[in-house]
Amino acid sequence: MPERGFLGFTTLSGRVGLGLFLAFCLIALAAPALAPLDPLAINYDASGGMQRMRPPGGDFPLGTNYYGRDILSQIIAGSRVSIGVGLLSALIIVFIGANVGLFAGYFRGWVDALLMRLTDIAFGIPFFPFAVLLVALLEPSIWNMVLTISCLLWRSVARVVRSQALSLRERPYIRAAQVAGASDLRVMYVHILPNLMPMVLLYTAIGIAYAVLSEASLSFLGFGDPSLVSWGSMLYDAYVTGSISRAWWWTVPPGLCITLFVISVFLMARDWELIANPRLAR
Amino acid sequence: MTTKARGRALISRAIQSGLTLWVLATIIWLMFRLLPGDPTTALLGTGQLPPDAVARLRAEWRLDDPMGAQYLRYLGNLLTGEFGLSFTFRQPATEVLAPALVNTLILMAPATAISVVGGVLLGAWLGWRRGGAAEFGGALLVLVLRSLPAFWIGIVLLMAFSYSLGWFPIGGIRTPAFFPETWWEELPGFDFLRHLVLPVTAAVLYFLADPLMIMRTSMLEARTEDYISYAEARGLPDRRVRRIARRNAMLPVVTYVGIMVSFAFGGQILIEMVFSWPGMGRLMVESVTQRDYPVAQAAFLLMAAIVVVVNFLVDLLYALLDPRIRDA
Amino acid sequence: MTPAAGRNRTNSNGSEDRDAIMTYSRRSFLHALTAGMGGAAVPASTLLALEGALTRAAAQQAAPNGPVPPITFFAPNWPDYIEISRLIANTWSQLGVEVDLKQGTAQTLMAEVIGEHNTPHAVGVSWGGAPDRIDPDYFLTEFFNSRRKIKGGLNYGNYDNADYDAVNDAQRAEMDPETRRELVWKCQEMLAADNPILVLTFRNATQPYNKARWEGVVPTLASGVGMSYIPWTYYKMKPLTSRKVARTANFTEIVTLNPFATPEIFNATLLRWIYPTFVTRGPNGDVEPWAAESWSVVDPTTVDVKLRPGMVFDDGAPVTVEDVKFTFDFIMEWKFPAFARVPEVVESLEIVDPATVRFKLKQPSASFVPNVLGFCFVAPRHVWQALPEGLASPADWPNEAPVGYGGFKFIEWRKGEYLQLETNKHFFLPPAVDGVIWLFVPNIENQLAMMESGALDMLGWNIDGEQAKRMAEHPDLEVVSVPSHGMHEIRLNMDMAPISDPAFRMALQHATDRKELVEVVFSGLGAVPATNTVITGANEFWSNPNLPMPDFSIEKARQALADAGYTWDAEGRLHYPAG
Repeated sequence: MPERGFLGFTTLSGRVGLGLFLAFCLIALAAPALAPLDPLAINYDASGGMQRMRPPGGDFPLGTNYYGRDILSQIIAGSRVSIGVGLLSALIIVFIGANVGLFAGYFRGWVDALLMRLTDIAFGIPFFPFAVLLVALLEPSIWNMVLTISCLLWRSVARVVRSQALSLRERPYIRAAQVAGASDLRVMYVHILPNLMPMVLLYTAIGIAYAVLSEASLSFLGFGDPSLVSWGSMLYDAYVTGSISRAWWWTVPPGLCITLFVISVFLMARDWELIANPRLAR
Repeated sequence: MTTKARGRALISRAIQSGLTLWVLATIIWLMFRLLPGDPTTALLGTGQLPPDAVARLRAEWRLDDPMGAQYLRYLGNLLTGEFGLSFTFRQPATEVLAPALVNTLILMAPATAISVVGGVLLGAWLGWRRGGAAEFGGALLVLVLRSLPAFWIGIVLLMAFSYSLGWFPIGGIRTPAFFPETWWEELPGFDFLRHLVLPVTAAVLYFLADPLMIMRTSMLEARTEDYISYAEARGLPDRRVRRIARRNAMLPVVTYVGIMVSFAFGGQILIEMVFSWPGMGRLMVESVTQRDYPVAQAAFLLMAAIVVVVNFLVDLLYALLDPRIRDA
Repeated sequence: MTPAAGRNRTNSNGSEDRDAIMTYSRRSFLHALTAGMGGAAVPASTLLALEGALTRAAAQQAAPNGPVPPITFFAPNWPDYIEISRLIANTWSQLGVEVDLKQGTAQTLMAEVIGEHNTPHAVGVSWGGAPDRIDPDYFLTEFFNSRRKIKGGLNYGNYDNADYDAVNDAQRAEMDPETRRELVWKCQEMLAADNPILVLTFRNATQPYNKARWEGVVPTLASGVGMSYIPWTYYKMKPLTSRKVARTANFTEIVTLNPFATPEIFNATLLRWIYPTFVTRGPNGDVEPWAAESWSVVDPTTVDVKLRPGMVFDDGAPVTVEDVKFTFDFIMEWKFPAFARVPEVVESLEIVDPATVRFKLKQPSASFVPNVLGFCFVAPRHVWQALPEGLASPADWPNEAPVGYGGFKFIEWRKGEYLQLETNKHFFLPPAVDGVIWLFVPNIENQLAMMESGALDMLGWNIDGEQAKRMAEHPDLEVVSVPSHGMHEIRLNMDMAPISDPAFRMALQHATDRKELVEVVFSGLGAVPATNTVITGANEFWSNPNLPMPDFSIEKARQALADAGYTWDAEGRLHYPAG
């Protein structure tokens, strides 16, 4: 078993990931203070003309967009929505998935059969089209986006946790706890779940990554909340105004931020993976 | 396992798949019935419409039948592959769907094949070499590929190779009324292949990461298996040992192909949008927003069915490939 | 993009309310259902549904002295309306009210707002410059006549004014243009007094074309040089290179080749290239003969139409008055939704001589010539009589190989890709091009780049000023911008407080910065309306020039509210008048 390290981050890459992740989270938390300009305000020059599509430089370190809005400020403000949706969805995904898996794996029998058929069905749902359908049904808002993403992505967590729980429940110390009269719930949450934590953490990370990517994709299709800026909706704006090919300073930063944030999460996940699956470290 | 037992397992798995499909079909049906709004609105003109025309349309589309009857008719029709007339195109839904499905297959079949084969080969290579630049580079590649949003890959490819360099067309599946201007442009399929390059590249970059990563991990695990140590101890050449390891390490990738196929059909809406590709994903989004129940239902069910059937086939294949299951 | 709207239902108001509740419970159930798929998230989603219902309930009660609830503004998620929503929210909120932005697809808007009349406080929509909207009757009747205040009707702002209805009905039946104009002006005056609508802009029809490949484009009212509505350009333009087939593009696709089936403007007008209407509009919007050589109003309810001689269907058969009679009888018999205007106006049709048909109208109709003769066409009787058995309606027939008689012939339709048309040299006004290909390119980014690369010759939909600048930078491209009667507007729900208060509507007029909006959203390529009317000033004959638009001034807006007794609390929140 490798040394646990700081929060389980044993490798340099894991720590880099953590640093990057925390940096993004800090930016998101402090967004209103950090953004140099109002991300939704239209900027005018001294003579009253709109500052449209200004390349980076001067008052606008990352330039302006089609509507004269400051891109740097939008990136900073956008981190809130993108990361917020990602974290929240991931928590719900893991909450649902871990519970379904735990119940199925622990109780087996008809509970298992029922929950796993449910999971099979969830696996039969084509994710993206369904997400589009749900968001279209429920009108665009970030809450509905969180709801949609979490409703559809808990399935893999459930499967993995179930298989782990299945094997854990046969361990002698679990048997011992049962014999000692511990209730089922107690055994599940006090004895089994802690052993699943590395796995759960790993899937939380993967969940964040997928949720952030899904949010970006749905926003890019125009299903985002119109009154909020996110990295995906920035790309949507660039796309629908026909600016993609002309304003690299508008197209590249949001994509880069999404990619970097997701990378940071995956880097952390890799280290957790080493704990969850020690064979990889050998 | 005896042949009889295996047959029974197979049948129970098939029944399960059928059950899953039925539940999915029901969910899909319910969801479309719960959509706010009446499909007749989408079709009718700006302005006014006499009530008898509405009644006529609703009767024609049998929207006024009791829900139960509608549901039973829907299930019955499913068995015969009958999805009804598209509300918008006024053609059988399957006829609307077929060309879009073909277009998606044209794009996704090569993309999936390249990703799986490329992922397996690259992943095996990376998994076999521990440490050093190769592992670092490989890990980084996987990381970046997994983190890129699909539509952004497409956008960046378009920016580089279409807008800036002008090598490839900007979108679409072919140039209508194409006039070749040079001899190579006259080659059969030239125009079509030129349209195919960028979307397939985008899709491959998007798909490659998972099989690559799974293969790499699985290869790493295989290395520690006793049979590999045994093979190495026997003094087999490294290449042969690697082949043995690769064969065994491929199993999880095979499982994953099932999931990948479902992504390939459904998840590619964004690539289809970015490249104006007239495929299933686009049709699906449009049919949903236009309340075209028959087409949307058919498309969703087709996708769900593909996923379920592919998963079933993967299970079969798995049983054939895995010696532990096969010979147990 | 133009919402095709809905149907008329004879529901009473009571059942409308019930339907609203039904819709809500249906939604809540849906929330629960989707949440149920996820198991534990049920309470959260139920909350979401509840919250929506509560804000709605709160919005409808105006408690004296209480704070004014958030104004819900719904708009489709089209790029222009996303931006308009942001601007509107910004200026309206300066009155001390919150603006709650809601967006959905055009279809949601159609289903919820037009179909069900579940209208929030304000709804933003744009209306394309279709030829049948040039006549003032369209906007004045469809938007504001209380007869259209029914589900599926376009009076979803619930404007209900009996005096207005009377004047409006009078102008519909008035055949003398001068007298009718007085009534039309009166209608506009009444609307300006009540402010049931905020007209935002009449967006120019602006398209680029490739001047290195083509010459002789015809700038046309509301169609510009590229749109399908009134295609003078495609009839007149001449190739400068060896490529004689023009390529043009639109965002959306046609959905059918059956001209009886669809009301959607792009699809319908494109099919009129194959099946020309009896009359058309000239480049400046005047009614001109087209498939009809001439027409004459015999008396207010009798119109004679003389068919253009020598017209031939694509299969060689001559176009006859029998075909005309067949077509109208066919429309009356099947009551095609897209042709609902025909049975509303036309009583019957008879053949006078081998070149002339006589229409008998149910009542005098000022818009009969532009909007019925300018909308209907001739279907070949020998084709449509012989439809296969078992169709529920001829509108279901795919008509895969249309037999028309217009300037363009059908060649091929590849779904999701393109529609290819070939020139019909037998038409009385044969186009100079060899053919036109309409590509369906779903995003502007690709369209603009295809213009620059030469893959497209023109665009069939509007671009805005910034995009126009980019197009004009290319040496081969030229941009043409033409005024339009198509309109961006915000409809106010007259039945919902605080919108129901005329003072509040006046305040919103003052708090709407149209100049900024046209500048920001369309980079200047649209008319900032100088007059407060739905008939654009460019439509000189019908537009009432004496109705100045309330100027943009937050001060005046707040003053209007203060005069009506509204107050602001310490945080600047607007409160209803006392009592």
